[in-house]
Amino acid sequence: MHGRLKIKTTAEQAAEKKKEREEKQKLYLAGLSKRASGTYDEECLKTTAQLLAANPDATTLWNIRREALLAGKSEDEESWSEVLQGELKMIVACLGKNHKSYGAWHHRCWVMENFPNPPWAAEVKLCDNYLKLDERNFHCWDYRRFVVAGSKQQPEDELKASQQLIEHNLSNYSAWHYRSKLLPLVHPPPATSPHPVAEQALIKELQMVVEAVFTDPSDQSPWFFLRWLVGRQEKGPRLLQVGYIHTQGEAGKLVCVFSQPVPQSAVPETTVDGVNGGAPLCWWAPDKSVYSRVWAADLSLPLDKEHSINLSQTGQPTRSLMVGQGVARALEWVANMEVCGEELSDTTRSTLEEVKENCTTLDELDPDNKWVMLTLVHVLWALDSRAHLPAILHYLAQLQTLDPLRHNYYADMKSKLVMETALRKHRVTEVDGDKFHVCGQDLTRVTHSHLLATTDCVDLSNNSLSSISSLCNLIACKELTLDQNEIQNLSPLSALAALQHLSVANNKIADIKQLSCLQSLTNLRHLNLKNNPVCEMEDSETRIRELLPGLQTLILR
Amino acid sequence: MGSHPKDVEITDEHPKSLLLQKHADYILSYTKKKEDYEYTMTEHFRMSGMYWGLTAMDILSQLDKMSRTEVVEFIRQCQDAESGGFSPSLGHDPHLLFTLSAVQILVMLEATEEVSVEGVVRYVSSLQNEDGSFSGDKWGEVDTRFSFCAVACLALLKRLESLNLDKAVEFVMRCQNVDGGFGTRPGSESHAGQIYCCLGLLSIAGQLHQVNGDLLGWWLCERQLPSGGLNGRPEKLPDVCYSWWVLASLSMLGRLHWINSAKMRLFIMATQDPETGGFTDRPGDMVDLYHTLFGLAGLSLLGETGLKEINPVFCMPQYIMTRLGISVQIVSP
Repeated sequence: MHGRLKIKTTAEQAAEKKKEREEKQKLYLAGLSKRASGTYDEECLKTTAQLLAANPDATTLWNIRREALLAGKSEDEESWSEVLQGELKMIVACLGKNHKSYGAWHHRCWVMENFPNPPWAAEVKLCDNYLKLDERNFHCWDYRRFVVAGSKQQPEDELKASQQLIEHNLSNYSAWHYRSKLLPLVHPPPATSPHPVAEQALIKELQMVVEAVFTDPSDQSPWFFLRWLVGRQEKGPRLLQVGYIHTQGEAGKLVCVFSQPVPQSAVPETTVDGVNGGAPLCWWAPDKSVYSRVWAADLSLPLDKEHSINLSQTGQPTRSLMVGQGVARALEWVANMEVCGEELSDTTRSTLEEVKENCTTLDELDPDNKWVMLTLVHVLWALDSRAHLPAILHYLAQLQTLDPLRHNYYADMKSKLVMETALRKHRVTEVDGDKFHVCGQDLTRVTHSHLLATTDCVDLSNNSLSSISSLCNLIACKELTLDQNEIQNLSPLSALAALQHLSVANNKIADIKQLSCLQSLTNLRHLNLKNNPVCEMEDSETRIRELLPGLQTLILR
Repeated sequence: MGSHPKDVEITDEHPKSLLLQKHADYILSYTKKKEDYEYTMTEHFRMSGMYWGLTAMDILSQLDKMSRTEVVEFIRQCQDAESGGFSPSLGHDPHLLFTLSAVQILVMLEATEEVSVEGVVRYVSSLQNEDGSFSGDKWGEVDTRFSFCAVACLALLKRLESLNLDKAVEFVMRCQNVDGGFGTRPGSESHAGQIYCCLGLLSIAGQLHQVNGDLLGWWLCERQLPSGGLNGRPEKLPDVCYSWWVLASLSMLGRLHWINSAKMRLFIMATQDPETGGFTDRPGDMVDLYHTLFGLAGLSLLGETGLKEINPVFCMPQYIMTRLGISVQIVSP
């Protein structure tokens, strides 16, 4: 039903179509009645073949046909093979009508599965031919994978085939895709490698794809492949941080932060002061989801003495957390946040540097090519995002102008980079203690908020934030400043029980109902709502104070 | 930047605003012309056609114009007593695709008690394979579309415990590619329609965290062409149905703002046929129910006034999901 041009039909054409339809209807009904009476004869095969050649998407007809074939199946292998050979020919006729028919391609698989000795090699050839007709036909590609698996063809051979298709047309995304599936099979990377394929192959592929993009830099397919090659393999989830924070008096929270979302069962076994059989800790995720990067448990520890908390994970050394007498918090970083570039070997680094040089040259030759710029962003990010920060931000800003359709994507990527860099600085220097701020950086989203789960003072003022859903992870935060953003909805803050100061001046909070989510924050004493539409409302002060009776300071103007 | 040989041009002559009543009239007249060539030639997917038409009418707030009795009676007749599955129309064989369409309609019309729910559950769970995948019917074709059909079906009937959801998720994750997308089977190329199905399944299962939202979100927003329309794979023509598959996927990933919605809206508007009503795949082609639903559903996701809010996972009006108490996972960017 795709790509049918609208054409006016004459009365004559309409009459002809009507006749044609009636013929088909008659045939169809004949087929059905044969099936109902169990008469799977030659006539039945003939009728279904005729109908399917005109409409290969009619699944039921294929089913009737298979039933008829099975009913007439001969014990003699040779004659059965002959029947199935005939079937392969019949399918070719149907593919002539529609080479993207699900039913026809599936029937072909069924035929091959029923062959005593399937003609695999011939079918690989058939795929070659159909891919010449339409190199992106994903039905044929899927069928190719099926026959390649059946024929036990080596992935090396298929890698060569993909190479040929790419050489024939660089825009063949399907062939690049096939290559991305084959390479890790033929050149598997070592288990600990951050790269998707073994180093030698990686370097060779990078050279090949750089050559391709030089041939035609406006072709998008090779750029997708290049992005994959320079990207890093995601590691499994790791425990990054454990911490204990007194939030008020003796009440406190035990927090575990992971690099990837994990279920509650992944949280280490915990003992407090050597007691195993005490009341079990009740772990919860800030966003209430089943998988989370942050897991917390409420735990009250008397301030007048020292405490030790042991966390043990199977296959990992036991972590001990000492909470000193009268101390507000105890944190331990188990692992570092992943830093791009650190794990690169010298060989890969120099290859990436080469890609960078080549792209820089291309950027000079073809200054408005977004693919070149975007690749530079990824390569620089992979090499060392901190050192290349100004250059990456520059390219992203240019991309926003050059490719306005995806303006917000580039803005969000900028935000990610800014957050990543700020968090790394925050971790390394700890000049500000547990204060974290990113102000006036045009942030459109807050990524990595799990790394702020134990931070008690966060300032994200003067950005472009409209959604703050990820801030639910700030479970230890006492002071949160979000002035001068575009926030309308405060509900993600409703579980930040430690919050005492909240400043959201100059935002877009228009409805007093938005503030009811702050009712659950029993420690909230100071609220700055200055210059929000809600302040213009009649009796706003009285109504807000009624809603939040615990407030000491309320700034509306 | 390179030119886009595979795109279309939107001119001043194309409609710019929503021809709401025209579409309702088109859908209504479609169901009335049972002798029409078009109508008979679509018999082999009639059940889905009904779902497209009814859902579109509901988004247009005109569901009351359709005959509930007639529809329910048709669906009742299409349930296969032996297997429990639904066929597209009488005389055709049951299949997961039409079983989901039937269940969607029944849920929409609050008529699930009119059929054998046990039969549906039996049929759907019988089609799950050892590796977690689903066959579309007893003839064994495997496709991630069928995984979605199965899981969505039982989620709507609140009978998810009757299939192995963990295994279903495991299979879908095996179909993920290096570009972050998903294909029909392990090894298959990413395709926006399959991505929608896989993300929908993961959303129902609460497993969207397994997807790299930045990577896949980028691939999805790269589907937008200068005309504003979206294609389903790189270097392909835009098609209005992808305004649903891609937009719904981006919604689940919390990244709908990564495409330009003003241009997207213009493209969808241009695929309306002001003569007949209904939407086409591309401006100038023939209208059909399929593109009419997905055009309207895409506009609803973009917040078009006059249309009911749609659920990005089930492609059904949100009020129905609220009524059922079914919530889906949407990740934050």
